[in-house]
Amino acid sequence: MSLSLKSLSKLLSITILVLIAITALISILLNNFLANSKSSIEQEISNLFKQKISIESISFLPWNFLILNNIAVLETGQKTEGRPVFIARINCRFSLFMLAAKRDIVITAINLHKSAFDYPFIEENGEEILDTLRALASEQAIKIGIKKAVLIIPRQGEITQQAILDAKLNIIPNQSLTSSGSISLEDFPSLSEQFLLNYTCRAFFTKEGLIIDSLELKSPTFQVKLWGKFEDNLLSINGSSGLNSFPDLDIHDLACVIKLDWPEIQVRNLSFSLQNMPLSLAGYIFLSDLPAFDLKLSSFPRQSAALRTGNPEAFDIMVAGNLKQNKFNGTVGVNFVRRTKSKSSLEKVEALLKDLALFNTGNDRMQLSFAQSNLTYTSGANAYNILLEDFSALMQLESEMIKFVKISSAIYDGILEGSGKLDTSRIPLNYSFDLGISGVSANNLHNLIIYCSKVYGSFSSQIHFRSDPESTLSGTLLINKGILDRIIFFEWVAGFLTIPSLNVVNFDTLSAEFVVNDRAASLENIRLESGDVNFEGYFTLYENDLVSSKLSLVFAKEFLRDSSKLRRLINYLDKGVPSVSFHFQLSGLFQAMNFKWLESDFKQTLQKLLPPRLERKIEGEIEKIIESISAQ
Amino acid sequence: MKTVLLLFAFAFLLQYKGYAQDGKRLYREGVAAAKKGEIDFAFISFHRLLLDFPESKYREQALFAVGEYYFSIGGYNDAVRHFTQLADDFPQAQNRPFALAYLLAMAKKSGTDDRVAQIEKELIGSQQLSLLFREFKEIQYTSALDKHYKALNFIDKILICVEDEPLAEISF
Repeated sequence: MSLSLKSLSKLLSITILVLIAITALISILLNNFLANSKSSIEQEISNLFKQKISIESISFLPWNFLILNNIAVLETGQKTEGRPVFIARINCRFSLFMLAAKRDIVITAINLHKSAFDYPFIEENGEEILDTLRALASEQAIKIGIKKAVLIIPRQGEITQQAILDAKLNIIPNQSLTSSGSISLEDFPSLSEQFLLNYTCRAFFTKEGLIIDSLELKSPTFQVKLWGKFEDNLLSINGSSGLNSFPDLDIHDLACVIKLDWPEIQVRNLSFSLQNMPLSLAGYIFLSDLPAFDLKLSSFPRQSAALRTGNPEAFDIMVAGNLKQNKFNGTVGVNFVRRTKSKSSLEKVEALLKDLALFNTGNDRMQLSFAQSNLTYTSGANAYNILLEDFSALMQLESEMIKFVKISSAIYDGILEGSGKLDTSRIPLNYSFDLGISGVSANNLHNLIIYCSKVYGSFSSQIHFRSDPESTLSGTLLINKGILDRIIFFEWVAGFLTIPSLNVVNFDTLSAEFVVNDRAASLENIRLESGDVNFEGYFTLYENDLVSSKLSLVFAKEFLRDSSKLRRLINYLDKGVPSVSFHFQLSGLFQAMNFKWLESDFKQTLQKLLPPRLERKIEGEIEKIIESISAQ
Repeated sequence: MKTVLLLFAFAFLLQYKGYAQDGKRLYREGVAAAKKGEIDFAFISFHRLLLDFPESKYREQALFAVGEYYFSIGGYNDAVRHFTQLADDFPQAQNRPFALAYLLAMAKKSGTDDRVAQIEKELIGSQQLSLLFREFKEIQYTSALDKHYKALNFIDKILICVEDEPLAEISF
């Protein structure tokens, strides 16, 4: 018995030694062969991929592994230079059965270790890469593993960002596809910290395409669950997603239909529900040399236009433009419903942007800048427009709840500077800002404030805005060394006093405080100082178009001698009085204001002198003048 | 033959003149009845005028009188209909502010705040004032039902009276 065991053991040892020797021999022979054939293998692979491929070494590892070391793509393409692809090691496993039976090397598994890819190369050669995958998986099941693959995305100048991919992909031809892995993004311009995304995918092949049984994406901040199908370039997906920190912001009832027609992605309909608000996204994305998109996000998309006008939660966000050197050029617009106590109206904000960029400057700060923006706010039939240039907003994001921003911009021929605060601790968001404008020619602002079309001078202003408890805009304004050209009130006064020079008033300073909220817009403490005319008062316009105002004019007595009506009456004034005051009250509808001459010493003196018949005559004449000016 | 033709033409013209007179005749009947204090009979005349002679030049006064009558008997729906028709069809009418005053009173009674605000705004915008030496501008009107109306337009309020009793007061 023991002899038999001893023999068996000896036999086994000899067999193992023989096997090792054979293995070693085969390995040596194969590796020799591979070393000698490296160039032709390189050429074959280059022809296959239509790229110049360089392989440092190819070796065989028993019993069915091929190891390729330091593989690089050397082709200089349109956007790529040098080595757009580098892989430190590729382990390929091939089927011994296929080799023995059909004398064919069929790869059954590929593992990439320490690879780096230039994003522009992937963009240029995406189709070829997919074709290669299809070819590899056409007859035999294949497993592909990728470890620490780095995707390098060039940014401005020398700066690049990296996406790191770890993934496993199993394909059984005509049956199924499963994959799992993770993507991490580092130093991305719009992200304040590293971003990590894990995914798993399970899909089944059909005659028409692919059924996605499950696609899950998970990151520390959100998760997404999707399922659907992909047929004839049409991706139909359903799912849900959630934000871990904000469970109220979970997305439900996600359904989308996307047509993939490289480089165009047509989002036919992407609908979902957020906080019980139905939303829909549609449009186009072009992933070409100059990426472009035209997208519209709408809330309550199925509601009729009439119902949407009364729905304060109805809005549309439109973005159309392109990305050139990571800067956006195009239009961003928002339609929304603004509700006040008495009415509901459709309003719109639109920005035409040139070279908009958003990037991370480090230390939890982000910068938004653009070269030029034409901003238009439309409310009913009224449109307000402003032009900003060289705009920069530096946002401090370290606090989770409160975000601060510092703003600077050129505004026409002047400067805009200030700061803002955004409180994200509740919805609706609470925000405020304080801005200063200086050195702007007042007339340039006529598209923003209609009366500025009749005002000239150097304009400066301090502006404060608060959204809580109600939207309120307030501040001060000052215009130096300017002209009021045919302001309606002065036209009335010019007609009333028959002093035509009052139609155009040169002034040293014009100042006022303003307050604008949902109920009214008012100018208070209005003060105009001019050589012979001083003017002060207040003017309020309510949301129902009614006016409330009191204005006072003080004229130098000698100035009134220009009036054909008052010239003689001036002589009846006390010689010691250097000036004459007129006080007026305005009321009624803005389009047809009522006008009253209030009591003053001069008026009392005049009334003592004038017979009643003459008073009525003067009143009649002034009435006609006022009506004719208002009608213009 | 000529004589017959002339006689026919004369009879036709007489009839036409009578037809044209009936609108005026109804109006005059109504005014006369109102002056006698027979308000119900006055209403019947004006109401018939509106039905039979919709193009009559007395339609404006008839609409006001019928609206007044319905208001006085509490027929507010009919009053609103007639005053609204007057306000819409005769934007420059002298009695329009008084029709608006009635509509305002009825809107306040029914508690429709939006309608109240709308009518007040219409009243305020119905006349552009310029007051130099006067404190107010006065408009007077005597209706077909012989009621005397007065509107006092101040710079910041409007006071409307009927028979010196306040009908509407708006401050702004």
